[in-house]
Amino acid sequence: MLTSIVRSAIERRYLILFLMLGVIAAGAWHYQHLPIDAVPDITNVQVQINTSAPGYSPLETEQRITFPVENALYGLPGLAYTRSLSRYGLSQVTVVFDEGTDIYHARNLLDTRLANIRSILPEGLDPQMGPIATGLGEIFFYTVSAEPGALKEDGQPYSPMDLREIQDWIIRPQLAQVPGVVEINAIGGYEKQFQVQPRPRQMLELGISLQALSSALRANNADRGAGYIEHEGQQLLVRSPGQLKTLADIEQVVIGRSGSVPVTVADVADVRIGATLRTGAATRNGEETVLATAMMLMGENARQVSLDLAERLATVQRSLPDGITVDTVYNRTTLVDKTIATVQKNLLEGALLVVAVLFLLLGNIRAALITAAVIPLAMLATITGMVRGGVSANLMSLGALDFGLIVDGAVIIVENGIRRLALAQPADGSPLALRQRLETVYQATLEVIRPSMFGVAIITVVYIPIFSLTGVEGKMFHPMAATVVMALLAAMLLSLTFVPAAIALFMGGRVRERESVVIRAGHSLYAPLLRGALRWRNGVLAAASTLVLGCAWLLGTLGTEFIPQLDEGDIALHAMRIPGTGLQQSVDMQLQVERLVADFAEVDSVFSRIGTPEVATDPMPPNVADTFAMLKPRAQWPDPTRPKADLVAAMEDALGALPGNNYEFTQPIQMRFNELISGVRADLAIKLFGDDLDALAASAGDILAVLEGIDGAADARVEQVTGLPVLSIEPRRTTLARYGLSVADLQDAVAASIGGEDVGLIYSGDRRFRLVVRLDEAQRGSIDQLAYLPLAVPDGDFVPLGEVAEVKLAPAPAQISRENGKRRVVITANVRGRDLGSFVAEAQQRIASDVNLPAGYWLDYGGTFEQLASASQRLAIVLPLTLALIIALLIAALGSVRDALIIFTGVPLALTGGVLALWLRDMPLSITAGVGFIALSGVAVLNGLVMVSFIRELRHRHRNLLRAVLEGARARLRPVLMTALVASLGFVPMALNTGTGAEVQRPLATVVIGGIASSTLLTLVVLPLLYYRVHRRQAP
Amino acid sequence: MKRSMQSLTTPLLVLALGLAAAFATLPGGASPGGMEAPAGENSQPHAGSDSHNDNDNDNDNDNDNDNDGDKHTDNEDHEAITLAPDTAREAGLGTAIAGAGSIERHVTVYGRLATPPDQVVQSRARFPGLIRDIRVNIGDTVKRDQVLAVIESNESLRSYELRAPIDAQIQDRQANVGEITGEGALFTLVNNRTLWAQLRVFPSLRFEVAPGQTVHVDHNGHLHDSTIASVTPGPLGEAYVVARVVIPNPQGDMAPGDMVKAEIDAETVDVPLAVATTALQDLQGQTVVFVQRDDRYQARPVTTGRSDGQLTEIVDGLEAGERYVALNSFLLKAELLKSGAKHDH
Repeated sequence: MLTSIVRSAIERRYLILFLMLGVIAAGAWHYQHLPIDAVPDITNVQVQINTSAPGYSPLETEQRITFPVENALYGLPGLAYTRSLSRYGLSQVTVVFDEGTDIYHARNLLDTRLANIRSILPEGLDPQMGPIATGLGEIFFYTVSAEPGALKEDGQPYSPMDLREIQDWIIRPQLAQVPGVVEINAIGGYEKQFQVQPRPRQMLELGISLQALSSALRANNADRGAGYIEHEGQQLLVRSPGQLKTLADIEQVVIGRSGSVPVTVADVADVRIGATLRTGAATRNGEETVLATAMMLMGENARQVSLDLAERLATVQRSLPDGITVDTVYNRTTLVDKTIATVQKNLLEGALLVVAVLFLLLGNIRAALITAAVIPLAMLATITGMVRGGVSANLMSLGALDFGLIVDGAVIIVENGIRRLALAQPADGSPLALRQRLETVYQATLEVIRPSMFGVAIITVVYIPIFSLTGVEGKMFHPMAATVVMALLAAMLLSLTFVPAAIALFMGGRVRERESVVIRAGHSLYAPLLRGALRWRNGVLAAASTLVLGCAWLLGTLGTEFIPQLDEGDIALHAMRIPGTGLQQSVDMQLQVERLVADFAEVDSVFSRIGTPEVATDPMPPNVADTFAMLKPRAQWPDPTRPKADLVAAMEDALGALPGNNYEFTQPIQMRFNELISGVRADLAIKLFGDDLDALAASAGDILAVLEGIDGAADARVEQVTGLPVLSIEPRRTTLARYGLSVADLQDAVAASIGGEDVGLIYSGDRRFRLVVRLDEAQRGSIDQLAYLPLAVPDGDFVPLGEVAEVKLAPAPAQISRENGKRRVVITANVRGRDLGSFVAEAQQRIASDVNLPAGYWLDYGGTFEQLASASQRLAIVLPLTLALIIALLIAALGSVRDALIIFTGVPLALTGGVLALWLRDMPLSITAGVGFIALSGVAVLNGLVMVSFIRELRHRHRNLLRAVLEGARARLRPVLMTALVASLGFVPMALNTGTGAEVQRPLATVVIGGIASSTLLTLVVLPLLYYRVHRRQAP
Repeated sequence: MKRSMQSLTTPLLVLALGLAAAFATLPGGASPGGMEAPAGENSQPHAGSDSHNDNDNDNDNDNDNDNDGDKHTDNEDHEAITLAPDTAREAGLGTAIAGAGSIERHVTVYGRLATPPDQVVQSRARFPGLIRDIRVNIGDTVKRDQVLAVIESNESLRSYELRAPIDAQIQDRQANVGEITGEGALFTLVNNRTLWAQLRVFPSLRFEVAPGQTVHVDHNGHLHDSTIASVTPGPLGEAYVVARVVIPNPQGDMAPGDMVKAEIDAETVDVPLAVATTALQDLQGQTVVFVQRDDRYQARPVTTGRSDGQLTEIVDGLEAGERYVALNSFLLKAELLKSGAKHDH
C-alpha cells in the first residue's frame, strides 16, 4: 500500500501540490475559528443551581430549598454527583455530570426538573442555573468610578449607589450584547431601591399595621389596560395609569382612615431612596468601588471576546455621564497574547533553526526548503484537526509541538532522496532524464519509507499513556497529546505524498550533494570512534549499563512536582477572616490589605471582591475576599529579575502583620479553577455523612482525635461547620395567643422590619428599582431596642416584641455542606514521612475499631490518595502495554525480535540524557518532563530503527557483519545527526525562553535536548556495537 | 543469547518502572499551588486547636473546665497577640482603662397621653331653669370662678350664675340662651396644662418599673423629662400595668390621645469595675476582654455582670486600672481565630 501511495504521489505530483493548496486554505480558514486561551480548560462538566433566598438562614435554606432541589436531580442521565452548600440567603447545588456530557443537553434536563419543583419551593424563590461558563470564563474585569470633583446633574457628588446604577443600566446592557459574553456580573456599590421606613409610634397612633402599609403599597402601583373602544371609526385604547414614579407619589398613597381622615404613607413612614442589604462589596486600590466581571460563554475564543469587550467598553465610555470612567482592571487578552507570543516565538525560532540545520547538513537549499515546507503544512493541518476535534490553542496544546520532531520523517526521506539523486547523476553533470529521476526518487523513498513510517508511528504510540490520564491531569495533557499526535500524523501523510512529489518536481537539474563541513568533521571523528568502541566493546557496554543504572538512581533523587505552575503574571489571593465577620468589617479590613499590597512597587493595581456577587458564581461569605494584584510589566519593576516567588513571599510577610486576616496565595485563573473544581485538597479525606449537625460534629471530633494519633498524620482538621452568630427571635406561643397573634404575624413583622419586604417595583424607563418596606438603619441596627419594637395586635392595640418573643444571640451553622443528597462533614489529613497506602489502611482500621458512629451515619474515604492509587494502577497497566506495543511495532518493521530489542535499548540510553539534563538544570521531575521522556523514547527508537534497518540491508548485501556495521553506521551518520539536531534544536528556544508560560515548556524541552544528545551518541556508538555483538555469534 | 537479552532489558525495566513509580508518587510532593491545585495542593495552614466544636462549652466562665479536658485541649490561656503600635493604629484599635462606672439601664415603653381626671369637668345647672345668658364659647379659656352662664331657676324664678370650677378651656357647650337646662351637662371644661402619660408596661418589664423612676417621654421628637407618679393595674382583661407620668404641657402642643414613646431609667448602679460593651468578644464560648500590655494583647476571660448596652460590669477576670481594647476588638478576635478562616468552596 505504501508503495502505491508513493508511486501515485510521484506520478501525480502536480495534483498533490494542488491538494496542498487545499490544505493551506482549510488551515487558514480554521485558524480564524481556533479558540485561543492561555491554559487548557480543566473544569468538569458542571451546572450550578443558585437560589437566592434573602433572609433564609443556613438551616432553612437547606431544608426548604437545597433539599428539594437535590431531590429533583436523582436519576438524571449522566449525573456523576451533586454537592451543595446552604448559606445565609443562598443555596447552591453543583451538579457534576460525567465527562463528555453535552452541557446544553444537561442544562435542558435540569431545566425540566427544576420546573417541576417550583411549586414545592417557598413562594418567590426561583432556582437559577449559573452561566454557561467554565473556569476560564472570567476574562474581563472593569471598575466604574467617578473622577474627583465630578458632580451629578443635581450638583451632588456621585455616590456608590449612583455608580452601581450606571453600571447596571448603562454599561451592562451594552456589554452584554458582545458576542461570546454570557454574563456581566457586578459586585460592589449599592443597588438602589425605594424604601418606605415606617415610624412605629405613628403607626400605633393611627392604628396602621405593617401589613396594611404593605398591602396599600401593593394595591396602588399598577397600570391597567382596559381594552379599546371604537369612537367615530377610530380605535381608542383605554388604560388607567397608576404606577408610582416618584418619592412624592409614594408618600401620597392612602393606607386607611383614622376617624374620617385618610392616612397616607407620609403620615406613618419616611420615604427615601436607600440601599439594598448587600451580600458583597468591591474595592480597588484601597477604596470601595463597583466592579464587574464579564463571563465568557463556554467554548468561545477568550482572546477575541476580551478584545471585543475592550473595544465595546471604549464606545460605552462615550455614552457615560461626564466624570464617570470605566477602567479595565483585568483583561485576559494580555495573558493570552503573552502566552501565545511565547509559543509563537518558540515555534518560529525552532522552525528557523531547523531550516538552518537542514541547509547546513544537506548542503542543498532546495532540499532544505522542501523539508521546511512540511512545517507550515503540518501546522495548518494540525490547526484544522484542532478545530474539528474541539482542542483549543494554548500553552499546553501548542507547547509540546517540536517541528524538529515533526520533520524527522521528512528529513530522512529527503536526505536519502538527495543522496540517491546525486549518486544517479551522470558523470558529466547533465540533468537526469525525467523518467529516471522519478524512478530514482521512488526508489529512494521506498528505501527509507518503512523505517521512517514506523518511527513516526512509534512516536505517536508513545503518547498513548497520556490519553490514559484522567481527571485534571487528563484535561491538562490530553490536548497536548492530541495536538502532537495530529501534527505527527499530518507530517507522516505529508512525507508519504508531498515530500516525494516535491522532490520529484523540484529536484531537477543538477543535484549536487556536498558533504558539508559538519558532516565531514563528523565522519572523520566518527570512524575512529566507532572502531575504538568495537574494540573495547565490553567496556563500552559496561559503561553504558552503569550510566543507565546511575541515572535510574539519579531519577529517584530528583524532586517531584505535579505540573509546573503557569505563571499568569498576576497574583490573586484569598484574604479570609473568621466566619461571622460582617461585610463592612470585612471591607474595612480589606482596604488595609489593599493599601499594603498597592505599596509594592511591582504592583500596578489591586482590586478585590468581597462576599457574593449578584450572580452567585462564587458564593463567598462576607468574610472572604478575592484579591487580585495586577503586576506591572517586568521592565518597570525596580528589579526586573526579581523572582515572583520572592515577591509573593514579601507580600505574604507584609500582609501577615495585619491582624485578623489569613491568606492563600494563588493566581486569577487558578483561583477560579479551584473554586469550580473544588475537590478535597488533602491526601486523605474522610467524609462523614449523617443527619444531625451536632452528632456529625461530635463524631468528626472523635475521628480527628484518632487521626491525630496515627503516625505520619499532619494538618489533620475538621471542616468548620459552626460559627455564625445568629440573633434568634423565638416566638413565645402562649403569649402570642394571649394577644391573638399567630407565629406568622410575628415573623412577618420581624422580617419586614429588619430584612425588609418587597412590595413592588418602581419603573423609570428601562430601569426598575425595588420598592421595599423596612425600618431605618438606626432602628433596625440596634439589638437592644429590638425587644421594644411594638407589634400591632388585631384589635388595634400593640404589644412589644420582647413580650411575645425571646431575643437570643446564639451560634448557628455558618454553612451546611451536602454531597449526594446527604449532610456531610469532612475530616482531612495530609501524610508526611510515610507512604500513603499504609497510612490510609491504618486510619481505616483504627477508625473502624475506635470510633463508634451513631446508627445512620457512615464514612467515605477519599482524597488525593484515591486518585493516586487509580492513576498508578492505570499507568502500571498502560506503560508496559505501550512498551509492548512499541516492541511489537519494531518487530513488525524488522521482522526480528532480536533486532527489535536491540533498538529498544536505545530508550533507556536516551532517557539517561534527559535525567542528566534535568539534574544539571536543577529541575524537578514533573508530568511535563514525563511527556518529554515520552517524546524522547520515540525519537530514540526512530534513530535506532533507521540505523539498524540500514545495517541489515548492507549485511544482506555483503554478508560481512563487521563491514556492514561499520559502513551502515557511517552511511547513517548524516540522517541520524540530522534528525537529532533538528529535533533538539527545535526545542532549544523553548528550553531557554523565559516569557510567560515558558515555565511549563522548559522541563519538556530540557529533557528532549538532553535525551537526544545522549541518545544520538549512544545510537551511533552503542547500537552498532550491540548489533555486532549479538549477531556475531550466529554469524557464519 | 537469551541471557544477554535479559541483561539488556533489565536496565530498561528498571528505568521504566522508576518512571512509573515517580509518576505514581508525584502529587505527594506537591507544589504549592500547582496549576491544578485540587489534586496536589496541601498548602493550607491548619490549626489543631480551633477545629474543636464549642457545642459542649459550659457557660460558667471560671477557669476550670477540666471536666472536658480529657477530650479537648482547649487552650485556656489564649495566646497573646503582638502588634506594632503603627499596625494597631492602622487597624483602628482603641484602648481605654478599666475602672468604675455607672450603669444605667433603660426600658422603652409606649403609651397614650390622657387628661388627668381632675382636669375634666362637666358643668351642669344646679337648679333646672331657663338660660338667660351665656358668657363663654367653645375654645375660650376661663379662670376659676369665672361666670359661664346665667340661669333663672324654675322654682325660685331667681337668676343664679354658673361659674367655672377650675381654670380650663371650654371644650364643649350644650347650651344656648333661651333653652331650658335638663339633666345634661352645659359645658365640658378641660385643662390640658398638665397631661398624664399612661404608659403600658407589659409583664416582662413589670418588675423593672416602679414609682419615682425617671422617665424621658418622647412626643414627636420632643423629650419631656419626668418621673413615674404611680403604677396601677391596667383595665380589666389587659395584661399590662399602667405607669402614670405627669407631663406639663404649657404650650399645649400635646393632646390627649397622642401616642408617646418613653424611656424609663430602670436602674442606675455604680459599679467598681466596668468596661465598654464594645470591648467584649465571644471567644470559643467564653466572654473575653483584650488586655493591652505594651504591644501585646491578651484575651482575658471575664465574668460579666449588669450591662446597659454602653458599659458592662466586670465581676471577675479583670483588675481596675488595666488597659483594655475598647474599639475594634473584633480584629483581635479575628487574629486569634484566623487560622480557622478559610474558604471552602
